[in-house]
Amino acid sequence: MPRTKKTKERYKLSQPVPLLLDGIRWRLGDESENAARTSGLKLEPGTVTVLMGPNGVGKTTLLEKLAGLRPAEKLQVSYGSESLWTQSWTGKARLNENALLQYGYACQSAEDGLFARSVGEEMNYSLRPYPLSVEERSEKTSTAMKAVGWDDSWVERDPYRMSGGERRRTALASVFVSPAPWLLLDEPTAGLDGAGHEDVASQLRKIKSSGKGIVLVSHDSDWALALADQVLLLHSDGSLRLCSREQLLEHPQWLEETGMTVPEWLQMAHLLWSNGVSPEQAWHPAHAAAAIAASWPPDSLDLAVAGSADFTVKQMPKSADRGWKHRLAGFDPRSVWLAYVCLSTGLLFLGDWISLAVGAGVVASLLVGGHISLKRWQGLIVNYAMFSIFASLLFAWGTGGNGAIVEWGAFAEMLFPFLRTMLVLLLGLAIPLVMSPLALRRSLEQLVTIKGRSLRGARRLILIVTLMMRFVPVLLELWERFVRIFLARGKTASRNPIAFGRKLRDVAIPFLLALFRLGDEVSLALESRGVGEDSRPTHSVKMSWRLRDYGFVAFAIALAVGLWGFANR
Amino acid sequence: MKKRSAERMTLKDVSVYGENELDEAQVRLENITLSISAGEWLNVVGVNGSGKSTLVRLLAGLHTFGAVGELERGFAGERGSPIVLQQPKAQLFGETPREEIVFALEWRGIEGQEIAAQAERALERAGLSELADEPWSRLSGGQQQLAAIAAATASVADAALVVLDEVTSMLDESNRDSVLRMVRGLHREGTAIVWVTQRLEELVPEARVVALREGTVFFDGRARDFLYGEAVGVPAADPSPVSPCLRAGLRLPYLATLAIELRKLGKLNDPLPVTSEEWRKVMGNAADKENKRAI
Repeated sequence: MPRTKKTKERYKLSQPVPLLLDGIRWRLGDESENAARTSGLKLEPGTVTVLMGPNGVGKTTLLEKLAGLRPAEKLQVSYGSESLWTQSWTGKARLNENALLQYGYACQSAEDGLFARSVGEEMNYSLRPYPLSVEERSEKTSTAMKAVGWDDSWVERDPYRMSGGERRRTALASVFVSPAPWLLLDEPTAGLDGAGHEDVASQLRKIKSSGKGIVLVSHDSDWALALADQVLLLHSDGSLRLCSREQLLEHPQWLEETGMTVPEWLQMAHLLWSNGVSPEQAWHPAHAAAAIAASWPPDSLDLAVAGSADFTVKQMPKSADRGWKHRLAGFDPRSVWLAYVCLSTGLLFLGDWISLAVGAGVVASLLVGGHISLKRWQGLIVNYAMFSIFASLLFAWGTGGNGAIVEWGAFAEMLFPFLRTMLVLLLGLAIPLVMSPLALRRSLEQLVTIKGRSLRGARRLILIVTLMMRFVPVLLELWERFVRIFLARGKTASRNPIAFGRKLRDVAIPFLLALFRLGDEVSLALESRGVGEDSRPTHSVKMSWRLRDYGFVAFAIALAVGLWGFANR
Repeated sequence: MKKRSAERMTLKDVSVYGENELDEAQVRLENITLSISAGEWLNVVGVNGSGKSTLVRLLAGLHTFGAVGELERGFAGERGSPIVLQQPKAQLFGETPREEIVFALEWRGIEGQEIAAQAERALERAGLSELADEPWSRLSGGQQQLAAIAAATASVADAALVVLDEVTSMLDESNRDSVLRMVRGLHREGTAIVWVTQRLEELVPEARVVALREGTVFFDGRARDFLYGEAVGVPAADPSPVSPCLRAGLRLPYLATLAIELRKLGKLNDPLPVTSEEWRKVMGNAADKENKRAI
């Protein structure tokens, strides 16, 4: 009976639930490292937890894991009794949509994920996964808008006609509108003005007192800790320390143990606390001032009198292990390219299924032998494979003569060239993984340089192509970012074609807008590097062929000839 | 230090008219009059949308559509100045710090034989010698910014002016400190710095601050006055904030709020402390007086 199921879900959503983490090393405030355990970390509803740690330690990644936006690895997350990942009958981890409904999530620069044509539509989009009546929706919408300082007249406003700060407010309102019992917020106030900080703070206090839980990451540590009940410190080894904010005030050096520097304001707050200011007062400078004023000398102080001051600057930790380079990086890029061209030609000669299988074997053994993982391109490869099969099916559809829907001969005939091209593609995809695009540019430019002069058009083209290669991983990252936002807001893990089409639309719009912004910044950075002006670049290293480059190309030619010979056997 | 033109860079009545995404007319900057001396350090602050980025791109000599008024680049020369932005990934074209700097030097037209040595020097200045051949994924955000600054400054001979647009906004304290150290090093060598920031705890008391509000220069003076304003003659009950920082719509950091509150209570006199050294002096003095009183 769908009706009772709905009411049951609604009942569950209004219930505060704890957030439970297992499978991550953690300890309580003053426990020693030996006391660390890997289960039972519990964040209570009705609390604000601030997640702190140095740059690059993975605060955002942890938050995304809490939201199920990244594979959880060993971490097990549950919202009350709903665990985030479940196992399907094949043993594969699947996202539990009921758990996705338990949180609202705002990523960094959440306004980049907006795509609807009005504030109201954005709100509805966030509410869509929840079974709510029309009245409840409009009530939640107007509450959320009030929380960012807006009245109902803003419902019709178009986010694209707004300033950056207003867009951020729209994005925050579309998270505040969520009826979910948990909010996960990544840098919600970065770039907001003073009034925005106050609005968000007072809204978070309200949300907390209504029994919901909040996990917060923020560079504005003084703003965030003033709201916090407890602090999760993330160490570079991936372990956590959970302490109350009072404990952090007492032991600011715990931040140093994570690799952070203790902010100057916190050093001061610690000093105030050790001079008798209560923890509650120490977080708020106005209260703290009133508290110390009572114990200070009656006449006012000047800065002018000399005192001794020492100021230590902490050195940044250097990464311990040395860089990794693929062994092919030692070859002249031109030889790698030439080898690729030879091998591809050989592969394109393949004419029957048996030789294709041999070709696939050669490609596979080259990739495995060269320790090249194509995992980075997984999405692209899968999509290409799906497209090949789909296109071939379409071609062979209904051509079957005697009652068969698909004529398998035609299907195979169509699929064959696709697969052959795929082998060439797989080899080609490996090249940027073993060689830097700029090295490639240099080698290509040298190829088109005749007697020290290169054609300007060719040079420009090569620069564009190599820059595009450089930015492919950035674009993939960008795309994945919007896929995550889509998952966090849309709350659907389903993979049917309709859901796929919706996903494409809702991801593509913000992606394209972000692309324009990125393009703007890239061209600015290039201009400031002097690229694009009428300048002629020099070459720092003249690359020369060595014996092993000849050997490498000879090996590729031999393989290509072998493939050609086998195809014509 | 090489000889540079000592002429000031000046903007007189500069306005920038633009269009938003819907082709509606919009004023980005209005009647800006400003001058920068050679070797100066200029902080630019303001809320989002106040025109900071437009102004500093103009200062960097980048081509700006719809700009009217007089702009004399003086010591900064006619060629565009290096500019570094918030997102490292949009402005790094190589795969490692060394490759990035070599790329910049090549486009500057440095002779091939000299590039390796120059790149090595640039890496050393950025403190990245040991990490020169590490891929970006193994460098922290701060180290990536150091490489971006090194490459941007390497791309101009003896840069007279460097513009840094919110380069520390994604960084934690220790990464920020190392970036600031490098930029202060450039400044000591005589390079003028335009430093855009949202993090006011970076301000040094005597440094010059230009605050923008709705496209106009709202404040141009010392950081200490920007944070605290002049409290002389202002009744304690006056509701409007004394601090130009608050009036510009920015959030006052913890320590600055504490100082203002103590001044309100009659416990601190101007000049109010800004840096942690100054705070330590104040606290030390308080303790001293307290001890004397006790004796």
